[in-house]
Amino acid sequence: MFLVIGGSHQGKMAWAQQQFNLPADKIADGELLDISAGKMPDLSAYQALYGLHNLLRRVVEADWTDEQAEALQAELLRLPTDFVLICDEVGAGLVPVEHFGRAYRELVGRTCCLLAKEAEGVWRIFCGLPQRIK
Amino acid sequence: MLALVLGGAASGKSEYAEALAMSLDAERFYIATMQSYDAESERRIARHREMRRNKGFITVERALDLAGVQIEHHGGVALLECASTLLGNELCLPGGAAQNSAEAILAGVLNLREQGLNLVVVSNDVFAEGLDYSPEMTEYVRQLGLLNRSLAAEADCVVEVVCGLPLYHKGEPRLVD
Repeated sequence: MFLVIGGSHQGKMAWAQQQFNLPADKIADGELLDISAGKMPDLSAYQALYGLHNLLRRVVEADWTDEQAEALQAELLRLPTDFVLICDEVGAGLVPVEHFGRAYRELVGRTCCLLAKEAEGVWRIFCGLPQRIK
Repeated sequence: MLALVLGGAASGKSEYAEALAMSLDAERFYIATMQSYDAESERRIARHREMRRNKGFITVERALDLAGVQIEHHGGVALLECASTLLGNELCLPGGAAQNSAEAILAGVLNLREQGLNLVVVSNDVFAEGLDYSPEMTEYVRQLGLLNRSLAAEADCVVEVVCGLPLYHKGEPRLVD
């Protein structure tokens, strides 16, 4: 799997679409995927997942257990080798006062560390410019 | 040798910093700064303890006054985890250095270097959230920026960790002189 990260509004999606030749209808949206079953939704119809951080935010909002979250991480690691994951970096701020904010950025950060370790390639997009960091 | 390891929350910076400290075959010290105050901080401390179990670190607990730490071990390596927690302590705890916190912590780091130690200092990147903070939080961010810049100026290498991957901003992470 390939991982594309960066701050919000940096042009990650536009770059990834061009780089990996992704048709719009093959990109799943982390904000919209159905996670009501409490497990990773089926992504077999897609080539990419945009907004992984939003998917993870919804996981925290829905109060998934650690085991459920770990199962989701394991599913992400099992995605096909040419699958593209796009995720915002959300950890470069002060420690949030609310527990929710801390749990959210912890889950996003740890998940990205796990994914980056196994990824075929990792890019960080800054001002629309890609830097290959793995 | 002074290495500064920076990253956001859950970026993998601690794992990287520990591996860097482990790469030196020397007596290893771990300067722990976090005070336990609730179940969540307990969990965080436990996670870090578990990470460095069996890695041969001698733990030195220090929430305030880094400059008072005496290790005096020429050629050893000390991992400071982390400068940003220490800054929060100095600003908030009774007896802390308040408005002089950044200078006090920098002096503490330089003092450890004077004692002959190789140093790996972990700090946080909190500068790209884009939110308005209270005056107290703004002061914390200001001092952390000052501290990180001062440490980077003194450091032989500055490494930013992103998703567990190192990006080198200054020098190469070689601990052995």
